[in-house]
Amino acid sequence: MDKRSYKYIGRNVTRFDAVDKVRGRFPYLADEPFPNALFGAVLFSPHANAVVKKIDVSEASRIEGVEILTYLDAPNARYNGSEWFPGQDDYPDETVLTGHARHVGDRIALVMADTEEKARKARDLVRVEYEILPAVTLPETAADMAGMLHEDGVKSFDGSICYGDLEKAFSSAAYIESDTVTTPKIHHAAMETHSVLAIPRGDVLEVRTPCQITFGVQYSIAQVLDMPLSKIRVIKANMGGTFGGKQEVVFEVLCAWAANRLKRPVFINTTREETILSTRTRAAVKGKVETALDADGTILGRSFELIVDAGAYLTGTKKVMMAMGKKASRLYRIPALSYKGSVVRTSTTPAGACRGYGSPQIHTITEIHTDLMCRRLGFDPVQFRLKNLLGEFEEDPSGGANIGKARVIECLSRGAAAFGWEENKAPKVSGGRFFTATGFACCTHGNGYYKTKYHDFSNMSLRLLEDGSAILRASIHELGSGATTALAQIVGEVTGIDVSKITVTEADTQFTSYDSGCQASRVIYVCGECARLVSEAAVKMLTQEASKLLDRPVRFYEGGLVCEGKKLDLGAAVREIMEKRRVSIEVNFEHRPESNPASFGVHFAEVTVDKLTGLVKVNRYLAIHDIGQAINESFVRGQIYGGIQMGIGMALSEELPFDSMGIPRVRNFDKYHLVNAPDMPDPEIILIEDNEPGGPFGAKSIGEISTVPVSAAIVNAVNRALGSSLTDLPLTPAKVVEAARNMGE
Amino acid sequence: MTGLFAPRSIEELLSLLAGSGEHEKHFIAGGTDWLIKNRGNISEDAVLFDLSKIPELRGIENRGSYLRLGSMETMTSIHTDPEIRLHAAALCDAASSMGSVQIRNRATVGGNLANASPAADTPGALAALNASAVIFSPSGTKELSIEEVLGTCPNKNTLSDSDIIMEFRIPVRKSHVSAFKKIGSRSEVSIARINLAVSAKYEDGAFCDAMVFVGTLGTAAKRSPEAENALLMPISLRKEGFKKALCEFAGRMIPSRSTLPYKQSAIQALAEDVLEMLEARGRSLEKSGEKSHG
Ligand SMILES: Cc1cc2nc3c(=O)[nH]c(=O)nc-3n(C[C@H](O)[C@H](O)[C@H](O)COP(=O)(O)OP(=O)(O)OC[C@H]3O[C@@H](n4cnc5c(N)ncnc54)[C@H](O)[C@@H]3O)c2cc1C
Repeated sequence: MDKRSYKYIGRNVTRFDAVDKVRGRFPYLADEPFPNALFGAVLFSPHANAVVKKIDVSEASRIEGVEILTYLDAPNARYNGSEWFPGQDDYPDETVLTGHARHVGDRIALVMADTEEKARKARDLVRVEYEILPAVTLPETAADMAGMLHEDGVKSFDGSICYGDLEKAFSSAAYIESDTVTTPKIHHAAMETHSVLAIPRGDVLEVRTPCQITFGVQYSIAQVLDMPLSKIRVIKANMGGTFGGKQEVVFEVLCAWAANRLKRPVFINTTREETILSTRTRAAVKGKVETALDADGTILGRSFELIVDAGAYLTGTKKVMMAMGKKASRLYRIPALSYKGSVVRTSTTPAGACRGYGSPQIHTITEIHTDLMCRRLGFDPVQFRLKNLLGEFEEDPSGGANIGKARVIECLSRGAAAFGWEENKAPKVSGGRFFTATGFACCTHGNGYYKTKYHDFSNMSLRLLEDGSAILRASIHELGSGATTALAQIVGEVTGIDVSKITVTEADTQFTSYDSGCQASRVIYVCGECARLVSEAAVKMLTQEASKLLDRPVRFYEGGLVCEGKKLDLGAAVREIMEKRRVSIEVNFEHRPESNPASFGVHFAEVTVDKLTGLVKVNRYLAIHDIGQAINESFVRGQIYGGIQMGIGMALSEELPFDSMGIPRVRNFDKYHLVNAPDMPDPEIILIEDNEPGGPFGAKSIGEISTVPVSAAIVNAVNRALGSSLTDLPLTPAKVVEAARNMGE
Repeated sequence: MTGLFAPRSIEELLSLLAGSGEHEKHFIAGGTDWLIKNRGNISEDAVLFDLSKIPELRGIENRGSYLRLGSMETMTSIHTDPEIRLHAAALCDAASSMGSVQIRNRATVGGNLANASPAADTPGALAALNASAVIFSPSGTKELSIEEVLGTCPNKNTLSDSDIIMEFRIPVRKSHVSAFKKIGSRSEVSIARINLAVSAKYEDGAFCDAMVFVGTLGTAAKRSPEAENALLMPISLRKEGFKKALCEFAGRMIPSRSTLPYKQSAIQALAEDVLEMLEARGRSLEKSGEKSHG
């Protein structure tokens, strides 16, 4: 089909929730108090590693109507909130409440009352005596101290990936170059803080949560409550952002357990400080990468050694660590590779999923290293990459899915031309202290789980209604990216039905079918393709039924039903089929993808570094993405703008540091510095749309990959500006000043 | 909390204060500091006084020898006021660069000083402009310097609990120029890591009568005599001398703090920028033939 003739694909259809959100009327969980619900205030530990010696709730429970559940009441069942399907072997080390606090913000008790004010007041009256143990704050020594933090004594959770003849690669190399890069622990900073509501309804426990994987929430709750999955109904609630922070299960199990025990609805809500300290973070990583090259700069082999900080509990951090390794062979042609990762637990806020699931960390490490290596060896960083980047349909030597219709070389060459790389690559100095330079970075990310350890499929139903409208029943989790509207565009394109008449549901485990969850950048590529296929099946059924009804051939042509040259009204056809044939037009379809191509992106940044203040200003920015096909271009741009904002933060200002006692130095936005609007560049965006096979209308992912190359592009620009080799992120003003001082004088 | 009052005049405030006896008293101006500090933990017996309805605490006017600035004027009203811009440019700089639009619309200059955060922006500017604060209390009014209000303890002013900052008096001085700049983690909505306010008399490219105040080195406005002297140096040596003096000053104020190396670097950038602003303002003052400038 000719792209220009699309009715909806690629068009900037306004998202269904836009008007309400702009007017502040879009209701989040905390905006609509549930009748008779108890407000639950969690009592969080103020210590990093401490065992509760005594807990005294007498004063708090004297307040009328207060209900208190402490770790002494809680089930011992251990779970891992990152598992989303039975049998995933993520080590379980978390309980709903704990008498051994393993980080500041760990959950000791839940104090409930009819109002938030009362619950918080009562919570503050609970007296806890702790025996304080040494904090485990350094990933480097965490393994040796493991027994102090976790009674299980497990030192680390290791994993490796290996292929090719690495020894030969390194022994025959003309050059061997290595760098160590550290990336910070980061807060997701979704506007909506974490909240969850649990409502006991007869023998069914209903849980409403702004989450990413309802079936995963259901499974976590089932493990602790020992209930059949069918009796736990999880409903995706309206969500004010997640960025992976709401992908894992955090307060859902606690809330469900408390509601079930008290047989009353319980609502848990958190403040910004509580969300920062007690939910999830992006895992901090220290990664050493070593590359073997031949004399022309062709990569012969690469080895990695990483320490990944899981924080207080393992969570999904081992999954993240392995995902990092899986990305290492999907950008450059690397004939031999060894990847060794070690996940350790420290007495700091737990890590877990965060936009990109390890991709930002691994590509930040390799792309900074690539630039520094090129500088040391005198290779041009663009030419070096062009020589080594993967071409289309190459295989992933680590055993992952075929790379697909890769357009990364085109991204880089077009980007370099558009940004004026050649003209701008030499740093410029002005006013004695302002250093301007350009940097860039390449990256890749996936499109689902096909050919990984995890199953990937989606099941949806489409019903065409008797007025010619349609409902797509799908387990979608609208994360704020516009996915439900994008799916409606896909259904509209196939069926010809006006998008405004199409409803796409979100997940409700009682009524929508199974889906692997809104994670792994799979929604457009996998769920979107499922929506396309179920739409095609519905159209096929409609034409067949209409043909039977009219006893004449009915075809679907240019977005409508046609019978012997005459157009038929879709609604009228559905109505008549229902009336006369007693058949409803509803199709169920299960899509099992057989591909998982790579998405690619290359970002360029021009920065000016003030040598005296250490402040970095991003002057110009270009993001160029191999996206297959944009379903809704304004959504794609929105994702890229936000991705850039997060990535600049990781490069320059965002971090969650802890002191040697494990006490967080940052608890709120006064000290956690996100890049705000006045400091954002006005990015130029180029989309390469070359139709990826297997995706709906050729589309592939953008939401996660858009943040992946940003930090490295910024850091590379700063290093080029100062001639420095900064590798310890974020590049705070103090670090930049120090580097500038060392270079200058 | 036992009561919230919104008096309509100073007189009414006075009688309410007298009536509130031993209760803990809180004044609320724009509330941008107060709310964050007190939300959820205000004591049972506290009495709150909303200062926003008292006309005597408002207004910006030129009284000939000085500008009268009501303590309840907001950052927005200050930085958009032509008299302030003309005679108190440093204050205009400080008010326009603090917080965000929303904060500037509520935050008052009286609250900024009373709150006494070492990182506050307008106290240094006011001090450099040689402004005084008129303090009102049931026992009478008094006029204090900015440094006297700040005292030596960070985050605590020297006023007693019934004292109110009524207004500021900023001298209108002939041929004077002033400027303020801060460095935070971002260009906007960012608390100062360091800030610098300077006023001086400008004549044929030279400065005299300089007043130099630096913020974040213990309190919001620490005066640096060495930097003031450096501004008197010959033009060819002035910039480097000013930078060096401020560097030494920071070293003297916070000798053992881990942030010192950074602050010493950043203050040199401020020195360059503020000096440039002063010179530019001086030149335009001369060009316009204006007699007085602040
Ligand atoms: C997001 C954000 C950004 C900020 N950015 C900056 C910044 O960049 N620079 C900066 O300097 N500050 C900043 N602040 C701090 C704050 O906005 C300022 O200190 C502000 O000027 C305080 O004024 P207010 O009117 O809100 O005072 P309030 O909060 O109402 O009062 C503060 C204190 O002063 C006392 N007080 C107020 N008025 C009087 C009076 N007339 N007499 C006696 N006591 C009085 C009150 O009792 C209270 O103790 C920021 C705050 C926020 C929340």
